[in-house]
Amino acid sequence: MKCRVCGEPASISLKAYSTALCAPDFISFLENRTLTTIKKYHLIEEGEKPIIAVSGGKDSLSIWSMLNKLGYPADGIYIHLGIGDYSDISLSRIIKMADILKRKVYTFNIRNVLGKSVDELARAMKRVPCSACGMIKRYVMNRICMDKGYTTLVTGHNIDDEAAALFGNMLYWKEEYLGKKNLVLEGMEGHLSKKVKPFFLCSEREIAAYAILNNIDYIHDECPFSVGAKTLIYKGILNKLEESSPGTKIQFIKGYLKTFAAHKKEDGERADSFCSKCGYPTYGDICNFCRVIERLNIEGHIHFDEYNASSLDSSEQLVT
Amino acid sequence: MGQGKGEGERLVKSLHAVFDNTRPVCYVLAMKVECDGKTLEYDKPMAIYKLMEHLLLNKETYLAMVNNRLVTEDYKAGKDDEVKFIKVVSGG
Repeated sequence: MKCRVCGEPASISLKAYSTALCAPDFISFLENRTLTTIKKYHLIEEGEKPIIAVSGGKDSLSIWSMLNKLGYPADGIYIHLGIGDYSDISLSRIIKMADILKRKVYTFNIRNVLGKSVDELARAMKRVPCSACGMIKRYVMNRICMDKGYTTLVTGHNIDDEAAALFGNMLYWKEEYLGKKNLVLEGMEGHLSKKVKPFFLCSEREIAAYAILNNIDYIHDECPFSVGAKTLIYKGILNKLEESSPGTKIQFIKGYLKTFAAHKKEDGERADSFCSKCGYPTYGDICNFCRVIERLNIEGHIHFDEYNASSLDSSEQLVT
Repeated sequence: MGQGKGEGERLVKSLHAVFDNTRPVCYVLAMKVECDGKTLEYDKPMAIYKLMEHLLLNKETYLAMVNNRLVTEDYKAGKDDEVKFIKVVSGG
């Protein structure tokens, strides 16, 4: 196949768009699409200070690298879950990227702070590790923004993540979750940071190709707790559909956004009370994280380790 | 017994390649294919999409690299090539 732009041998075929591109043209294509998404949906606006939730995988390292390249300087936040070598290798990839970008990365080490790894904490909570992980991440990601003055939390969620989650919620008709996913989740002043997903319309395949073509050294191993996860099964099913009918996933998600946009005003259901301990939004008196900390008698003081590869002023504001 | 003429000739040629002291021994007799931690060998050129069909790999789930270069599915890999399929699906 030849590149549709320059006629050189292509590096990737994009069947959903009936095209194929060489390495430089594909990199431009994905960067332009992400930039268009950021601007069209007002993901990061002038004066905002973004921070990237980094895991060491292809998605988060790619968005971190890309945003800095596109003129959105951003630091990173990593949650070290204490999952043996997997967590340590992930951190090493993140530090490497921080050095390349000359940015700061904060690390929240749950064993150092809470005295337990994520699986130990999950056992104590009588939950599965993924549930404990989600709860910790939601809290810590918000906390870093509130404590350090970041206005916008950026995650590397892609179209496959969103389509799989939507597919799962529809299969079991979890109406309470339908309509809640979006490219932007608005914040609440002093309580909740704004969350954005610039890769919402990009596929995992495209992001992996971007990472490879830019020599981004990401961790290929999967989280050991994700084995057998339903999300992976849904992704497999959606990819079978995509292979036989290219463009299915983008149609699914764009159709959802159209429907979501139409019903957005009707859906005003949001937590309207705040945790009496931390002040973050909750449906009860106290949020899940604070409840667990209290129930397990964990007295760790929430703090972040800081790795600063930045030569820039840490109070730097985004200039677009 | 039961071997076709072609297979017999190939076997003789391979043995010559190994035991002929007059020329350097070549260990690259086949195209190497790496996928999900396993390494396979194919002795004839094959297009990437054919390989993917043979290995039952979904084209949305894997990217193909030949000699560390990303290639499209129509690329024809030869016997000296090193093919690597990268799984792109993650998350749980």
